[in-house]
Amino acid sequence: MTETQKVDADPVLVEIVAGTLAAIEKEVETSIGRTSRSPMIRDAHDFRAGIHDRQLRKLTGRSYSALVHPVVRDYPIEAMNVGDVYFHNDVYLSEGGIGHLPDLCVTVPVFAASAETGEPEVVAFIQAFGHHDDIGGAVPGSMPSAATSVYEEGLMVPRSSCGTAACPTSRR
Amino acid sequence: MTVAKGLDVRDFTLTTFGGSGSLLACRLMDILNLPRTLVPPNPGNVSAFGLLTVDVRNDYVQTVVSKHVDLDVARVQSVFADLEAQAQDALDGEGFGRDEQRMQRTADLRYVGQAFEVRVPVTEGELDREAAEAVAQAFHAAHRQLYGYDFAADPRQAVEWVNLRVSGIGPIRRPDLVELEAGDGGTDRAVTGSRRVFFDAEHTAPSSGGGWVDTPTYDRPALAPGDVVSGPAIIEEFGSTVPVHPGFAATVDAYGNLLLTKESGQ
Repeated sequence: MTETQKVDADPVLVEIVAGTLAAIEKEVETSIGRTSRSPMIRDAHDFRAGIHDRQLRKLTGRSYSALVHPVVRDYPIEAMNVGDVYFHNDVYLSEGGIGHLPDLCVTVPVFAASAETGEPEVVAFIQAFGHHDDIGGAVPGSMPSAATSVYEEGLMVPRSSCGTAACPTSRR
Repeated sequence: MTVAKGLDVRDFTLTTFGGSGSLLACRLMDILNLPRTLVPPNPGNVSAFGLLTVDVRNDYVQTVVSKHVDLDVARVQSVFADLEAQAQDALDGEGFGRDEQRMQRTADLRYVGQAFEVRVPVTEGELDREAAEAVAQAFHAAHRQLYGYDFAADPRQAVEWVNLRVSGIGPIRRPDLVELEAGDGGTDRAVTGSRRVFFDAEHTAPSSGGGWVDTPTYDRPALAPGDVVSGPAIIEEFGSTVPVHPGFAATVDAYGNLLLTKESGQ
């Protein structure tokens, strides 16, 4: 995953691709900000979107704490389907990507036709996570500084598949 | 701007305007590897021309926050009427007769809790409950178009009206863009003289060698559609100058625009 290959790339093309990825990320964040009803996201902008490649590497270089690794660990890329949506805010099983329970993380695989078979295959991931106002627990806002147990902090959802973009039911 | 959005400038035609906007067009084409540059007629006046070809328009807005289910349709109607009266007054003062004036109603709606609205059209005339419902439906559709989803089928999600807007439009007669008559093929009729011009060797075609070059000057108004001026050349007009570097050519199109291209390697 970390091997370095020397490649000849058109430096202009590299900049254009970098610009495309950054613009996509910005567009996702703009959509979230404009449609959100949560003050923490809508007004405080405590959210972020990220694009990750098939090897789970964050592509735009902007700071981003959440990871795709915990999703792929439990739901292999080969078994993903078009329309799948994955959700988690488990601070332990997220391998450190989630700092506290109000940070809700949604991951969607991006598909493109395989060059060899023509079948859709996962080429990237779009992920968005944001600080929800309240996820339950002992105090409003779900950040009890005097908590003695994680159960006092609110609802903790392990990585789970929501099935489709509509997300009404758990598929697995 | 373009590269930051993932657009390749090499896919676009550069447009240079302003009196001195075209001075470095050929250098820019070299540096950015652009296929083509368009120089409009009277490049110093392009912004003014644009300003004079749009309708007169005054915008009015009144905030009326109300959930769609509780909407006081009579109040909305009266606010629209008030805004339209203001718009009419302004257009009267600018010399537009009532029969020319056009009123355009829009409204900004959102889902309750959102901080950004989506603007949708509102029909003219008497606003009844049915027309208000059509506005809400238009909002659902516009929200889906913008953000990929809507809550039209979800009764738990409330729609909220936020702003009522009226644009008063005074239409103007737009200038016709006329095609010019083609020339007779040659460009000698437009040549006004010659002058020594220094072109940087590094940025000119190898064959030209660069340095001081005897360069013909052309009178742009004397050029006609179909004419091709090969560089080195200087094309002059009242408000602007277009240097055509060695290795470049300027073609005059049907509307009098100059299209700069590289003569070789394109």
